[in-house]
Amino acid sequence: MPLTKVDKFLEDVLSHIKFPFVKDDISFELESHILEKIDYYMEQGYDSEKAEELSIRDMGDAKEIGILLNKQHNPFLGWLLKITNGMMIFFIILNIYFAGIPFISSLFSKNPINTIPKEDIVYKIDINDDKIKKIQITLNNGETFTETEFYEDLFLFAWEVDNEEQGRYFNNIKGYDSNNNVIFQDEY
Amino acid sequence: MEFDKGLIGGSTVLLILSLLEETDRYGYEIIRELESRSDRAFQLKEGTLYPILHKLENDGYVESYKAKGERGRDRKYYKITRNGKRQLAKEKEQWEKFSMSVNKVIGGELYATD
Repeated sequence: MPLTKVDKFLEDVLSHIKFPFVKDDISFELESHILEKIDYYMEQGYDSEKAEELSIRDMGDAKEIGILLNKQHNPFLGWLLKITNGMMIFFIILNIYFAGIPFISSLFSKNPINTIPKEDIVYKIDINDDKIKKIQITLNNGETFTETEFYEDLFLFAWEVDNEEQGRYFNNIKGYDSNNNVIFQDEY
Repeated sequence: MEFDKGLIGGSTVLLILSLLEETDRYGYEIIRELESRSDRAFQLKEGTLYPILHKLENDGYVESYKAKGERGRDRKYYKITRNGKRQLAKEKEQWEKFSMSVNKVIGGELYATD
């Protein structure tokens, strides 16, 4: 069923609405009203053309409706709202950027190695290889530690050297790539 | 019987808010309820309901949301807010005062409670 009369009516109403962002919403609302009314008239026995005509008549004057609706969607206030919303988002992003990121990164950038007293650091091996995704170290008593997380650019291991006789000394280190192949190895 | 346009204009907000106080409704439904409950005395030009609804929404008395009705059609429903309920109470009170005053002028207290 071609709804040319309905379209014409909607167009007439919308021509008075200056704020573009509400047009779709208004069109949807008025159109669904008219379609329900057309159904109603057709249930009463009218043919579709007559039903459409009567439904549009019942809506009233498109110009009057358009002008009244336009008053409720003042373009100045509408734009102001859009702009303030936009500004809000902009400031939120700005805040995240200037305050949030430094704050968050400060949480992570605190390299734990710096908080460990120097005398407690037993070994520090820097591996400048991005391919290394996992490090496994073995102590002289056979204990192993694995680490897949970075602290900044370091894999960090901590263990206590509590028993001087038995040891728990660092023995060897293995570096694995993403396929779990050993690509670096060193012994003490 | 059809009422004077101005009189309807003054009380449409009261009528619409009352209907929305019962349940959430969409525009077409509001028109049908107004007609049927008033024995067709309130027959406003249907399209003019929407500027009123949008004003109520701008004033914060109602909120709208979209939902599917029967036949799978999307509809825009209106829901009364807490502010709207407060406004409704005020409008009711004003209306009662007004109709009481009219009744006093036209023929005594009797009509006020009729």
